[in-house]
This record gives sequence, structure tokens and C-alpha cells, in this order.
Amino acid sequence: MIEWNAVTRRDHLVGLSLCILWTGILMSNSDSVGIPRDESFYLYAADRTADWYERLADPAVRSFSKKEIDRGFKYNHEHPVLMKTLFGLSHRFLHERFGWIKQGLTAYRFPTMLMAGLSLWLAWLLGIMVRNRLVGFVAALALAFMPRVFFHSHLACFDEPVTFMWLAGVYTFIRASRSRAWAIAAGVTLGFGLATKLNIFFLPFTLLCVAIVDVYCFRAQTGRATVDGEGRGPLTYYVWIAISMVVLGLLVFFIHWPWLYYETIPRLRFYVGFHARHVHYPVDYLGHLFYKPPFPVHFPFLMTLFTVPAGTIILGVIGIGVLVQRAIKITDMSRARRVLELAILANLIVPVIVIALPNTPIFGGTKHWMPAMPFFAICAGIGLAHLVDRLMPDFKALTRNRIGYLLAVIMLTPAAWATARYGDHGPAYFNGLVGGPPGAAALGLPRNFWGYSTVSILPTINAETGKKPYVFWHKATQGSIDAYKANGLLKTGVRYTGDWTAEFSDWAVYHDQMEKLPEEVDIWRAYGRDWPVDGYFIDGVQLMSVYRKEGSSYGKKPVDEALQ
Amino acid sequence: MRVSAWLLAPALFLISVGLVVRYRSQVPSRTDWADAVSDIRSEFASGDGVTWSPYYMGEGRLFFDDLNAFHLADDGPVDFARYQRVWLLTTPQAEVGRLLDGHTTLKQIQHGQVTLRLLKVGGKQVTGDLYADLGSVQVTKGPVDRAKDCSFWSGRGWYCDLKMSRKNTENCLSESTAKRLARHRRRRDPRCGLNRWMNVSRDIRVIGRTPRRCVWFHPDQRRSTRINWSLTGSGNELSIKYGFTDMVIANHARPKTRTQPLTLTVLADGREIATKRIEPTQGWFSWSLPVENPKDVSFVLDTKSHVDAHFCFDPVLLDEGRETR
Repeated sequence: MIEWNAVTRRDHLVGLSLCILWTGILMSNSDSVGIPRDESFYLYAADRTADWYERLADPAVRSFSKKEIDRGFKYNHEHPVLMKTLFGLSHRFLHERFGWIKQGLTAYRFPTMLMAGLSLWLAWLLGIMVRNRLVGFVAALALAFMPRVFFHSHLACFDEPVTFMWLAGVYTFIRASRSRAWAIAAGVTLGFGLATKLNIFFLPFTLLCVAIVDVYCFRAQTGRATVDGEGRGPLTYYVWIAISMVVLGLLVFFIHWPWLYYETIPRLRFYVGFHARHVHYPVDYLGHLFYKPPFPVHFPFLMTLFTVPAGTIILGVIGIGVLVQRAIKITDMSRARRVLELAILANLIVPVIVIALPNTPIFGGTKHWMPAMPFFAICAGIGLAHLVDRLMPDFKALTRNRIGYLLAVIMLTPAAWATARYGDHGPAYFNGLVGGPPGAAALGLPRNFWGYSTVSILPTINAETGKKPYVFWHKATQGSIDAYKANGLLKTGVRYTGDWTAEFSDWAVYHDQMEKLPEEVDIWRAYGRDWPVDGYFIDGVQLMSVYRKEGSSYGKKPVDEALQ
Repeated sequence: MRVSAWLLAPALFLISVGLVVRYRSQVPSRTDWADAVSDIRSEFASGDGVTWSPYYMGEGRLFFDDLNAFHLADDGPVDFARYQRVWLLTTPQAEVGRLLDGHTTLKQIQHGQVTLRLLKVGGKQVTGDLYADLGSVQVTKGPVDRAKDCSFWSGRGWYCDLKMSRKNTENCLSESTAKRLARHRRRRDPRCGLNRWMNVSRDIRVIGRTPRRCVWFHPDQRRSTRINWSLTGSGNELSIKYGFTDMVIANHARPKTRTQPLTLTVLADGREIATKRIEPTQGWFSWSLPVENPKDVSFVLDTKSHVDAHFCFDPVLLDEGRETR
């Protein structure tokens, strides 16, 4: 009977090294990645949460009173607080208290970066388990070198953390399918996942499907569902996992979020309702602006095809083919291998399917199915191993392995380059299949969201504007502008005029999004000119533009262009 | 099978690299754009226009500044009739054939991945342009005999109903950015009493996914809105391009648009020559009317509801092209 491959202590050491190295790289690059709108909200919420934890030590404060809990957790209560707590505590202690992380923004972001590193570790381990170290190696690197994942791996947001939690949930589930102790870990991990972001809600149902298929196949093989060689059948393990996930998962979720300690049911109802009836974000897709469902089912499939580096896509598709081919003969597989391979396939598909459903609220970002990406990376590893087998069936294992690593490096080098070139502006990255950012623009695909790219034009604002310019920041929030100032990326005198204030500003920046084009036109109308003085372009395609109102700055009395 | 597998691996690698190299090699640098625009400046003449294609490759806009540049949609008919010559900047992604059709290329220079062409514009030429003449037209509301003059000219458009006195409005518009922003924050008439919507003004609006320079012509459900335009040039065709903004027609989350049909009546020298019912559909449309050297043209707009009646149009008088330069 073929089981999954054993993971040695050395493998864990390699995984740990990968994790540390990757976390370090992300931390060193933090200043280059801008602050999207949602991150600015989470930074503010993180501080409120950290305040609450700090006040726990103060005996004069009744921290668990409704008033104190509301004070700490009311802001941004549409999301659970695990990550916001970690962001806040990381900033409070690692930056402010101990000074271990010099940059405040990096300190906020550190928990996400660490989880991105841990994701590589887990991808590496799962690759080894499913086949060998070559698969693990490719899985880790393919995941690291996805420019969009790289971008989100920086942010004090929830998308990379939930990607890690989803991966960890699958890893613990696979382990728990053979071990009672791991069932506890599976339940706790799910709890942390639920405490991270709501989309983890789909994980247990995905795993339930894997369990049902496994039990069915086990019965087909043995005629029974409850006993195997060790004296326990799959059903027994899955019952433990289910109990653990329901009991521990919900317990962890409830305990971590003091906001739920009062008015539990209404607050839970609001939380679920907020996401179930989420507003639709306008999305430009294939030259059509979608404001309401139904949204094209092919959106996540096509966007994955165009936004993961082409080499990884090719290997991943081969790997999926291999797994699907094996899944056809699923009843012939060993239990361990069946669970492992099914779990990879199912968790690759489900996050994408959830977004593809036509009546799912329109979110528009590739980040919303990012939990599928580690599994796609593992498939890329399987694909490469399959290629090597086909290339050299008669070669010695060692030679084959060496050539496999060489091939992996060659195939992933363009992805590494793409990550270095585009990673800081990940949402603008499109691969060669679509012709890069210009090809995507020609097709009418979105390349910007929520004001993240402001960081690219800060040097212009710092250098070109007066001491206290009034700047219309378009999609960038006041919170993000304050954060840039606090981290020394923007001079402190710059003022924030607010939303919809182009006509009351001296300088204006514009974040290029098709649905926001009327707001760029507002700037033209207000400034009397259509042409920017600076901007940030990726491969010739606009991400940001900067406008200056001629002849006016604070202290002077501009004659409105209308009166000239 | 082994041979094909050996071929497959390097082929896959080469394909993935080749695709990137291909599109990257077609991307112009900022210097390419700067050099090309610098060339334009050295030979720019009055009556010339400057544009670029495709629209999304717009880095050259950084250098246009005071040049007479204009936006050019990536689809639909190409209209250079306002200019005698057009400086056309293209990148390898452009559909050049569509842009050159009917015009003569006088010059072509390559700057890296930017191709600069000087075109002598063929076909009819604009001899009267409402957008350019807007400052000298008369805008009224109501029936001709009891019409109310919209006599406040903001520099960009005509306004009928001021909230403040004319002098206070002008003073307000002259205020510093700080004061205007303070008005906005305190909700104290930041637009100096000028109605944001109900006016007739030089404008630019997103229509058919592209910014269009046009005359904002907002109807009033209570009374007809009229523009009286005196022409000095001669021409035999009145060409009107028009559309509602995308925002009110398609780009919203409502079940359907709130915009109602409009009726546009055109008069030449006091005589009605055409009426058109304009349906609320997305796009930038053309309407052509034969005329004989009209001296006065009037446009009258009516609607049953002016909610979301974000109408913009661009009428020009055309005549056969003249030989110049």
C-alpha cells in the first residue's frame, strides 16, 4: 500500500529556512508596496484592538464590560479580529515597545508576512507528502513567485492570512485523517481560520466532500467503513475531525472575538448578513463594466489563466491533469494518497467555484480565490515531476532528480523575474499569455483597485508640491495618507482634501480604474487641462496620474480657471 | 513519446519566455514619448491637432501640456475634421489602418516604439464649432417670446439661476483653494451658487467608455432649453455627435436607467430643419443634416424628466476640405 511520503526533521528545517527567508524578503520590501483602502481601515482597527489588550493589564479598567469591548472592537466589526489583533500587537510591541521592527508599517504587516512564509513551508511539506522534495521545491517557489500573491503577502489585510489558514486547515485535515491528535489541531486551525476571514467558511464543506468520497472508496475496497489495519476506519477519524471542527472551531472563533460577548446573536447575524449581502464592486471585465450580477462564470478561471506566470500555469495544468487522471481510478488508490490528492484537487477548485457562481457578490479581485493558489502551486510541482518522469524514465533517480531541479529553476525563473518586476503592483500584473499589462488593457481587464498604487507617486508629491499643498488623493484614504506620513514616505505638510474634492484642490492624483474614469474627467474639468504632469505606468499603461492646477497653491489667490 | 517530451519542456519554457519578450519589446519608454512630442513641438503649427493610439498606451500625455491634443477612441469612426493636420503618435498595438484611412501621411518618424506621423487631414473640414464658440452663443430657457436668458458666463458655461448676486458669485469663484475647500467642508455653497447640472457648458464626459469633449446640454423638464448659435463660416453639413454619459445609462447598480428620452430640435436661420427623439442608450452617436451656409443655428432640447439627463453633444458645421500648406 502506497502511503504519503514521510516528512523528516531536515525537511522541516528546510521549510523553516524558506519561511524565514521569505518573511525577511517581504519585510525588506514593505515600503515599496502601497496601502490600499481596506488596509488603512484595518490599521486603525488594529490600534483600537491593541489598546484593548493593553488595558487588560490596567486593574482600573473593566475590560470585559460592554463599553470597553465596544470601544475596542466596534470599529470595523464586519470582520473578525484575529489578524487585526496580531497587526496591532505586532506594531505595539515589536515596533513601539521593543523597537525590533524599525518601520511602523512593516510591524503592522509582519503577521501577514510571517503567514506568507509559513505558507511556503506548508506547500513544501505537502509537495513532499504527495510525491517528493522536487514537488515540494516547485510548490514553494511557484507560490512565492506569483506576483499577485506576493503583493498581498505584504498587506495588513486578511487575504494572505486566510490563504495560509486554508492551507493549514487542509494540512491538519490530511494529518487528522490518520491521527486523533491531529483532529484537535484541525479544529483549532479551522477556528483560527474563521477568526481570520469569512471565506474559510467553505473549507469544512470542501473537506466534508473529500471525507465522503474517501469513506465511499474505503467501503468499495473493503466492504466496511469503520475498520482498517490499525483498527480504525476512515469514518472514525472523520467523526473526530467533525466534532473537533464544530466544537473547537466555533469555540476559538467565539473566544477570539470579544465583540460577540454581548448581543451575540444580533452581532453574528449582522456579520453573516454583511457578507452574504455584500455590495457589488464595479468590475471592468472584457470591456464591460459590471455593476450587478449575474457576473460571468468564467471570470476567476480566465483571470487565473492570465494572472499566474505562464510557466506556472503550464506546469499547474499538467499537474491537474495528472491528479484528475489518477482520481478517475480513485478506488485503486491507498487511503492516505487518496485523501491527500483529493484534498489538493478539491481545495484548488472550491475557492474558484465560489467566486464563479453567478450570484456571488461581485468582488472583482483575484485575491478572493487566493486560497486556491497554494494548491495550484503544488499541482505545478506535480506537473514538473511528471514531465521529468516522461523525459527520463530510464535515468537513475539521482540524475533525474538533479535534472528536475534544474528544469524547475529554468521554468520558474520567468516567474521570479515577473515577481521582482511587477510584485509591488501585483494587481496590475498580467502574464505573457494575454500580452502583459498592455494586452490586458486592450482586452478591458482591471489592473488597479482600492488605491494601493499611491505609493508610486509619493516622490513626485514630495518633490514638486509646496509646503502645504491641498491634494485630492482620489482612492487613497486619509488613513493611508497618514500612514505614509508616519512612515516617512510622505512629507507631513501635505493635506488631504477628501473624497470628491478635485475642484477644491491644487494637486490631484488619479488611480486608473475604468469605473473611476469619470473622476479623472472631473479633475480635467476642475483644472482646465486633460494632461497629467506625472504618473506611474506599467509597461506603458497608466496606473496613476498626477495633475497640478496651474497658477494656484496655498497662499496665492487663484483666479478660477473659469474666470480667466 | 520520449522525444516529444524532450521537446515539450524547452518548448514550454521558450513559449513562456517568448510571450513576455514579445510584449515587452513593444512597450515604448518614457523617453520615446518625450522625444516624439519634442519633435511635434519643433514643427507645431496653428490648426494642428495631436493625438495618440491606442488610448490605453497613454504615457505620452505627460508631455502634451499646452499642445492642442485630443482624445481618440479605440473604436468607432475616426474624426480629424477639426484639424488641418494631425500629429499621430502610435505604438505597435495600434490599428494604424483605421487611423490613416482618408488622410495623407506627410511625414513619419520612429522614436523607439513610438511612431510619429504627420497627417494631412482629408475629407470635410470644420468651419463652425459650437464647442469653440460657446462663449458667444445665447442660451435661454422657456418659450421664445418669454424666454429667460442664461446670462452668467462662468468661463466654461452658461448658467440661468444664480443663488448669489452676480458679483458675489464672481468673487466666490475667485477665492483661494483653501477657502473653496472650507466652503465645501462646511457645506457653504462650494460651487458658488452655480448649479452643477443645470447649465450649458464646455465639458468632457465619459461616453462609450471614452472621454468626449462636448457641450454639456442639460434639459429642463419645466421648459425648453435653447442654444442660439451665430455662424460666420460656410458649410453644407451640420454634423452632431451626441450621447448620454455612461454613468447614467449603464454604469450603475439600478435595475434600469432613470434617464428619459429627449427631443432635440434643430433650426437653421429660424426654420426647423429636423427633430430627433434621443433614446437613453449607451454610446456616442452621429447625426448629419444637410444645410446651406446657415448664419444662425438653434438647438432646442425638451424632456419629460430631467433626472439623470446627462446629455452632451458636439455640433459642428462642415464644408469641403480646403487645400492648405
